[in-house]
Amino acid sequence: MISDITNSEVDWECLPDLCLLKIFEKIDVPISQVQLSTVSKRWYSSFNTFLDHRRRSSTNMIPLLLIPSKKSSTKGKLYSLQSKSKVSEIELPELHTFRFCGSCYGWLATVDQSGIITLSNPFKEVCSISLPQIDTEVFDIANYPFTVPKVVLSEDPLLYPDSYVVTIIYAPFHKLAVYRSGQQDWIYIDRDELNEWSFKDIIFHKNFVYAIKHMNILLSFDVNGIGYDGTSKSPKWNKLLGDEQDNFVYVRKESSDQIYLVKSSMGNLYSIHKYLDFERKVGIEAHSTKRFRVFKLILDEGNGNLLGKKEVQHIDGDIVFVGDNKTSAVSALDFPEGQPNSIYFTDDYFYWDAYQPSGPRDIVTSEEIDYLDKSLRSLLNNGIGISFGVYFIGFSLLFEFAFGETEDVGICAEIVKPESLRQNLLILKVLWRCLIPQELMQLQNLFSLRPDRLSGDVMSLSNYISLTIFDSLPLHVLQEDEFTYYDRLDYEWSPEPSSLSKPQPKLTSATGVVRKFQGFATQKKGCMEYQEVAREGSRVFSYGTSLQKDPTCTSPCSWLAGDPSLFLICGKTYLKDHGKLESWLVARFDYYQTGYRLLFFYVDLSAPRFEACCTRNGNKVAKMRSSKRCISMPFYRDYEQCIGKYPLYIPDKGTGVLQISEGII
Amino acid sequence: MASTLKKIILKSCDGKILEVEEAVAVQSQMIKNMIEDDCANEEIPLPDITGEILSMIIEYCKMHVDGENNSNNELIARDADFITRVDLNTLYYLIVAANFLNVKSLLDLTCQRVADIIKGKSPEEIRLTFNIKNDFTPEEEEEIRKKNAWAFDYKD
Repeated sequence: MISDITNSEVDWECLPDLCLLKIFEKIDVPISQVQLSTVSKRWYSSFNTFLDHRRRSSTNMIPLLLIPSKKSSTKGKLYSLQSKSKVSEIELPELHTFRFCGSCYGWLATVDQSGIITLSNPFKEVCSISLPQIDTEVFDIANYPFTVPKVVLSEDPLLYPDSYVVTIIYAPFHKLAVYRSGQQDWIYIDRDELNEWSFKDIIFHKNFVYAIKHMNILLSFDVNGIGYDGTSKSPKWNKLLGDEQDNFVYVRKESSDQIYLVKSSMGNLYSIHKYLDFERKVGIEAHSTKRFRVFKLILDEGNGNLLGKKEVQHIDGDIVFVGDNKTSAVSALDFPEGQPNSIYFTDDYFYWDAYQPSGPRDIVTSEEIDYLDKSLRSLLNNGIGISFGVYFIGFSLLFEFAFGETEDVGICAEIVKPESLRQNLLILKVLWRCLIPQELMQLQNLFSLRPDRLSGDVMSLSNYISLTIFDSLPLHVLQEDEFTYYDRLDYEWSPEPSSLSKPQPKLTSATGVVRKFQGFATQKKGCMEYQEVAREGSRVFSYGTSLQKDPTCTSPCSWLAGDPSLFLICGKTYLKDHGKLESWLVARFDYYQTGYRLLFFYVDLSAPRFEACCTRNGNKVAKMRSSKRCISMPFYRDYEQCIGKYPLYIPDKGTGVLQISEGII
Repeated sequence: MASTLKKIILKSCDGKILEVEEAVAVQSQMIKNMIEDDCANEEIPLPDITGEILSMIIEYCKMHVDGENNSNNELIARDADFITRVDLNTLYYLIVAANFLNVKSLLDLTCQRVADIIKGKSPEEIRLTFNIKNDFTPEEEEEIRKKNAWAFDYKD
């Protein structure tokens, strides 16, 4: 009788629900789980229940993209690929003097000018963690401010406050430093030697830190014991693999431009190699992401040594996020909205010789980001073939160019529709910076107005631009508060690295100048008098001192106050009607003469509604229109940096989501 | 000490009666609850479990109680030895019984065994192995496959 029962056909479809779920749980391979789900309706519905449970309890959180808000620099927006509402708001720390340099487990890492990395968690009510200052001798602050390409945590500091380990890649040689919670200082690996450098990515995997560097050289060290004994002894490298051995890269005469290490949802380790396309346009290098290759790294479970690597067309079906964040992978089961077996990436490339806050072209151009101002998108999309970024600070614009040969570059500002009579007045303040300033000797007197493109009258505080007619310019109507933001901006705009050691100059020149003019205006009438007084004033007030002057151009990478820097432009019909006002500032650059590669413009615009363009050789190349609201974005390239439970990169439509199987050329 | 030597009487659906030490019986959360509620003084009828399956489960529980002092690895080896002796039909009944009696470690073990059998098999092979009828229409099946196409194009 017993054997009758056990030998009769059993119906696996009759297993209790709980058991079916358990079986799904025990199949830890997502692909097998999916295959099982298609066996029958019963298993399929059980599979969906299983996914439901899993998603609700999963700690494998999907990255979010952080986008700074237009409203304020401390309010950011989070873009989710998952939720239907897509965008939510988030409070951020003050960012003006920080740069985001990585994110991990919901923690956001920022680095300031002095080399202090701060971890903050915008999702939890917890204090920020300030890590020890990076030794200024090893971290070349003057020349590489803010340059910490990677910050990777071993664990969530919330869960393991006493044992988490932080590994960073730091400037200038992209070497590694390690810090264990509670220690006094960083441990610099290979501090005084230049054997192991140019690292690209780091990952914690089973008691080891794996780090990959150029030429695909993979190294590891044992993470146990780091900092436990209180010494700052550097752990020993264990060299696992390099292309000296397999010659892969050099046979093919190409090397990858960026490398990432990622652990898939199934626990396998992969190296992902990103290849860029460099395009030369008028002597300028522009880059775009061309393709990815993926290699599976097969490791010895015991000693962590590498047994082999092979090129693959899958990452266990996972969705991988690469960029400045901690490289992370999410199972397609946890992220059904994503495209399985894909790499979501951003442009995190920057040039070797100097940190440039440039090149976020791969991300922000996505059509999906519908909340981005259309004009901003066109600005970023604009194919002027130069690394190009735009930053908004208050009503200020920062244009950033890299270019070559001879160029006319300028800024064209226009008040489009003055809403009140008084708004037909523009104040332009132009500051600029070059990354290779030693050769900038000739670049004083940078900007001039193009008379043919000026529809208003100009009052310049310049010795070089003659003051033109100001018939009945009633400057007294200008209220002081219309200009007070200069002070604030000047304070925010303090990227002078060497200013750390020097006191900041007094930052009230612009307001002072304007105030002085108010004074003149109330006392005297007549353009000639204005002209003279203004010239007088220009000498007295020494405009442009809002930024530290470096007349000899000897200090590295300094800001040069773009004397003359302040222009007041008044519409011909100022206070009469709502006419259009246009002004065009032009500077001529000769690449061969000056040798610079990158230049920033910083333009303050006083008008509440304006349209501003970058100009290039007489053409408007990119346009930005302000709204009534203040447009505000954090400094530097922060806006494309991402945070989230993990950071996420929203790719360009054309090249962004590269399905690996199709992506290999 | 008397309570640890107490015997619990279990009765299978085919009338087999088994006396089990309490320490072994409480491996089943269900029986443990009954003891705590003082409902285990008489024989406990187990309507869906045959004598043969019940004996196997008691063997398994005994193994775990006796092996408490053994190393983890040894226990894993014994578990493996136990489960690989079991054919598919028996495995099914063991799962149902482990679920009913709520013996967590046995449920884990048996479900893991099923999972191991399933892993790496195509849907067709799974159906064949477990004698499951495909009740999808071809259109429905196509739809589901499309939804998770990545899992079907998988090549190592």
